[in-house]
Amino acid sequence: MNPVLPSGLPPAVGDQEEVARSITSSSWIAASKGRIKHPAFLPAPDDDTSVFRCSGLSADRIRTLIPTERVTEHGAAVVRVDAVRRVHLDVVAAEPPARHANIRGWPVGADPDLRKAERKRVALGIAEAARHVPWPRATD
Amino acid sequence: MTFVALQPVPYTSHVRAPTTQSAEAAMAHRLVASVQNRGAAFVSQQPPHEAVLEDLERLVADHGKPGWDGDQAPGVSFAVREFAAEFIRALPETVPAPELAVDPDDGAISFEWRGGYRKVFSVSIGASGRLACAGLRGSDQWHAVLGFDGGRMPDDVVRSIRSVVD
Repeated sequence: MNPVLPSGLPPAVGDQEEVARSITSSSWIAASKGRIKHPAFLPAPDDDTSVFRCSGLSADRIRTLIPTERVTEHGAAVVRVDAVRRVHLDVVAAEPPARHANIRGWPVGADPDLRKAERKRVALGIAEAARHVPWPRATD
Repeated sequence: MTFVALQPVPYTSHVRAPTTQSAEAAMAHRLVASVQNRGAAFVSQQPPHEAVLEDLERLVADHGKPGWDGDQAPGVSFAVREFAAEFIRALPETVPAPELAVDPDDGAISFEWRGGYRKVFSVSIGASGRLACAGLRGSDQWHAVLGFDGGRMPDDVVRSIRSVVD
């Protein structure tokens, strides 16, 4: 078994690590205070929330990790892994691309609306612990 | 930590919605219910949350096509837009305006009220027209699904909004 991933990171994602989620909608940031709203962390239709392990990286470096089609002007939402695990989800390494991971373990249920409500409750808990990382402005 | 699961409340309109229905059938039912609920007290005034309706139109314009997130997100459908507009029109003027967002998993419109750290309540309305609700208030947290017929706002929604913003 490989002790490290191609990125050089360990396969197990630590509680103290931070992960970044690309903000692909301006509606995921509260207009007044730059607060992250919970839809930023809801999973894609495949039930994973795609994130990048970003501990110790600058905003510029985080931006280079994210696939081009998912980089917007809105920056990223960054949260510690222990905040994700506190709401009974997990963060699992999923390379390539380098440093990629998925937030997994979202509630499942037969009623799609009830499943959605439960996922919203979980995502609210993550968003409360998240911070907005804007991209640095280009300088002349 | 306290977990509270609200019980779904019955439809309040005298026009009852079937429990399972297509988005088109749900839309037709709600149009009838909406007209009936407003008929007795017809007034010619702007809805109290007109600015939120404008926010909705901007969101729909920006998130109408699938893949708006650069990945798999469904676009906001016509039905979702109509359901969301009905929800906004039904919001009492006594509650503050919500912040809107688009959900990446199903193209639903999310409405959020926040009164501070871990004082937040949110409702998503998607293609079924039902209200997927969730809230945090300190260590309390809850989620529920509520019916909404396009007319009167469910009391549990108004109570939950007030519990986080008052």
